[in-house]
Amino acid sequence: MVTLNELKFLLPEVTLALGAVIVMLAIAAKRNHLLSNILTLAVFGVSFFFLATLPAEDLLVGKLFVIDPTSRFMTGLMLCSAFIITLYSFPYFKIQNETKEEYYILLILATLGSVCMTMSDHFVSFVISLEVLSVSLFGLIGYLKKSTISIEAAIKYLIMAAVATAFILFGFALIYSVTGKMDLMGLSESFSNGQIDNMAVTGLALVIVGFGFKMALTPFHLWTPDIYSAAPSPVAAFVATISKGAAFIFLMRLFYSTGGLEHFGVWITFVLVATASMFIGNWLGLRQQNLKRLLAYSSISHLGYLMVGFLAVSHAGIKASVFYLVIYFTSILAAFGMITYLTGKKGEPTMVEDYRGLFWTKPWLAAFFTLVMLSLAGIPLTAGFMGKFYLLTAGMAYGSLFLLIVLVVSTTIGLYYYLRVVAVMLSRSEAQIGEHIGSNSFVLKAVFAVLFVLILWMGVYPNTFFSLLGM
Amino acid sequence: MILVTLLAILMGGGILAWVAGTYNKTASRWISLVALLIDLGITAGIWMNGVTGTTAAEGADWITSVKYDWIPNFGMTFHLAMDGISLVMTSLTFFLGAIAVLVSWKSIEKNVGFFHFNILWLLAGITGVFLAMDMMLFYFFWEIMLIPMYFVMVIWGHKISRYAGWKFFLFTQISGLMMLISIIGLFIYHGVQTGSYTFNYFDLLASVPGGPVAFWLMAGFLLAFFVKLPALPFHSWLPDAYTESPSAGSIIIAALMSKTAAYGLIRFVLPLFPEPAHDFAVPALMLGVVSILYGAKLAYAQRNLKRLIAFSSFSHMGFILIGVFSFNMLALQGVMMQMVAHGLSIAALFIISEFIYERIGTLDLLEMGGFWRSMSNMGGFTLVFVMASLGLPGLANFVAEFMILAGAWQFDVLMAVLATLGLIVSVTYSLRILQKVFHQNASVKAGELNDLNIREWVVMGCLTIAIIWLGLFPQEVVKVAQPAFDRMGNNMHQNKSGEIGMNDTNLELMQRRNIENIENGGTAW
Repeated sequence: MVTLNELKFLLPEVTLALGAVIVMLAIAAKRNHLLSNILTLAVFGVSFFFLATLPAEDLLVGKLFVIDPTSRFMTGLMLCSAFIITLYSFPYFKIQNETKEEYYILLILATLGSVCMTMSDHFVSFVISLEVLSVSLFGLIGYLKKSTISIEAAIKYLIMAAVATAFILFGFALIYSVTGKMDLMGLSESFSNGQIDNMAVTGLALVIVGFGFKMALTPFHLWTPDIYSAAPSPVAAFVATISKGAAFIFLMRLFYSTGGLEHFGVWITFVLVATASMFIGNWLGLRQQNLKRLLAYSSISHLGYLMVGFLAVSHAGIKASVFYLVIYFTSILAAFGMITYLTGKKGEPTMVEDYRGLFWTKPWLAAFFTLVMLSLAGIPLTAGFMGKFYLLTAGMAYGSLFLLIVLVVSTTIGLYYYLRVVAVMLSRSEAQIGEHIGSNSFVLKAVFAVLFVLILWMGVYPNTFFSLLGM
Repeated sequence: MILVTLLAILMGGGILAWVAGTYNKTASRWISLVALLIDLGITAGIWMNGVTGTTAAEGADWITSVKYDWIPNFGMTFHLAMDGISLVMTSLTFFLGAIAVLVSWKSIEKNVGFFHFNILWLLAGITGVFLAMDMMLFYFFWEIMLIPMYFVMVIWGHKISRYAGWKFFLFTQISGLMMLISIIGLFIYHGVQTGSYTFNYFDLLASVPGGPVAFWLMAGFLLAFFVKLPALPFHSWLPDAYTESPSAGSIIIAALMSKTAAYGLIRFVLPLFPEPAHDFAVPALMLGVVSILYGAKLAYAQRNLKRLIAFSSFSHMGFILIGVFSFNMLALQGVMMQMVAHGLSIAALFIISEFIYERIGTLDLLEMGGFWRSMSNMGGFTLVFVMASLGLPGLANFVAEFMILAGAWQFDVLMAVLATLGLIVSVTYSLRILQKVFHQNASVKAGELNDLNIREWVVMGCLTIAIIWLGLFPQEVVKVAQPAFDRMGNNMHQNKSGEIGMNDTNLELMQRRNIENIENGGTAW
């Protein structure tokens, strides 16, 4: 049974769940966009406060959830990201001709699902969290229901997510049929007792497929560009960061605790998937003219890099991956923030060409975006480099030289399209970017300033963040 | 502390110049010039008097150093130190940096503030490379050079500068990342061997790797340095990058950035990998020889003045490769001289091409000719640097190349002989510059040209004095760098076999005699 004391550790999640109800009730009482937005911000803030005041001890709540440094850190990261996405959402939805308030309920629920996923220690809690996340995401992706492309994207995601869940469930079922266990702790015992037979490996393989869909690893990546380009930018940012991060953390828990990576077939599958993701992600971006699709390919390759940390089966590997997630979250949020910032009544500036000459009309904004692009490309002095450095170190310590070379070569390929965006901003043009929501949004500018400092800070002096990670 | 000041002046000056540039273009130019002159003054002070009040923890042959914690989790330190080699190279950086600012005084009119910001940060990156004594810090500075250089190239460059910028960036980036893998490999290897995980250069020197691991670790470093130098198979970015950059960019990339690679070979490859470097000597010498001859051939075939100069630079870089991999003191001193001399002469040639371009708006050699009549002063200066480029005794390049060849002779006679052929072919393309531009039939454009103005006189005058002074008194540079070379020789001697023979007293005697000969005006034994 769960005691009251243990429940205290779940306060951040309880706050989120209650918060969704509160926002719903507030809508029933008075329908007001600003009010819903502020309530949502408050929910995330309070939840973060509870998280920060948790006693620093590791604990298993029931058999379902585990509280450890990783889950604590990831919860904090996700709450911060959700907070930023909420800030993006207000000006973005303000100009949309749509009922806006319910969006925030879905946002809170999706965050709840992701947070619970990172702390799941049991198949059941994982699957429920996953469904909370996925169902909310259908709504979020198709939220602008007057745009048909948005509806199409939502249906696409619905089908993909359902298929992925089916794979995962079937995999879980096979593993359960062999071991009779559903909690990771129990599984690690069973597997270390040598119960890893073909049935269990098949189960793991099916789980890999499911997670491949969720994290958009090649060859399960095909949905990503469509969803990214059709979803509203704040939602796309959510899909790219929080939902992928959550899936990654559980994947890591599952394979690290079962020791599935010691099985050669599983190992080589992951190596192939990682290699393919790095190359395909960077390759397909080369000729891409649509910035949101470009970011989609970029995120495919970044998840590939992340697998290098995952495959360096070690404590350093976990740390490196989590640190990379921080950097990836920051950079991708900044990139989608940029698109949000320049959104106008006519729509989002999705094409790379829309940014032509930005350096000469809005130097600060262009400098910020340049920094973000360089961070995604992994140039020193930016956060992206430190993340890659850490991954490389973890990989080198493990001795997976092949993956390191792949990482380096594919990074260089990808550099081409990041630089192309910078070069377009640098080239001269008479055309001015039209009316956009960022120009009179002080909040967005403040968020950008914070992200700007964060990216540089993590790139130059990351000690603070290492100590947050508990190194 | 003084080393941090050097960097801070450049970086602070860069930001100041950017801000000032939005109000007043000239202010931004003056700020950059003053920042560089202050730094030059500081290094000149060190040159004259040494540093007072600070002692270097690294050893007596280190002039000054500074060390802070940076990322203790990974054993990274913010460790800068200056020895004779660094002193010479940083002085050269500030001198040529100031020249580059002077040259762009009139030709850069758009976004002047941002331009000077980039130039100063670029120079800060180069200075950092010459001072960093922590492998990660070195890598950081190595990469910091890239972004401002890319901006300078793309924004203020010529017609196809975007293409050139990409090519330059991709080449240097992938080779840089390979070096990063090597650096991390070295870090892990050293950690596993000794139990202390550190990126500090001096700690890493204490136990150098051996065996096949060492070779592959060295390969990463070599790749980065060969691309930046550039050496033979990796040179295809060079003509585009050198040609499409604005003149300040060409000067910095040819005269300074390529020297960071030469410096890296001396500072890191030789001491950290003595054994594999020695094994790699013959292929490296061959690359050097082929670079010299092939580069000369390419230079001769060019129609575009800047491309011609670019390939001549590529050709001269072959000498550096030969000098580094000849493993003796004389050749190393020659490399030191070559870094300075080639820096000065190639900068001067690019400046001349810029002056011509400003006047006639083209770099096509076929549209030039007969310029001596209207621009005899420029012709005179060109003559000096063309002669320097072809290795006329009395000028710095001759001393450098002579020392390198004399050193190489003791290591591998055949290669030395082949490399010496380079001196002959360099005459052909160098004289071709002078002939095509200043003599021959007068071209259409020859009539209405202005000769050098005062600013241009100052620039060319400084360079000419420098190159003649170094040609007559090369000992001034060699003397400063000598303690550093002695230490390297000793280290290598301790670490590995005597066959490298860096401490051979006969050799030292011989090279002393050579230099005395040269100083006394004798051209050879």
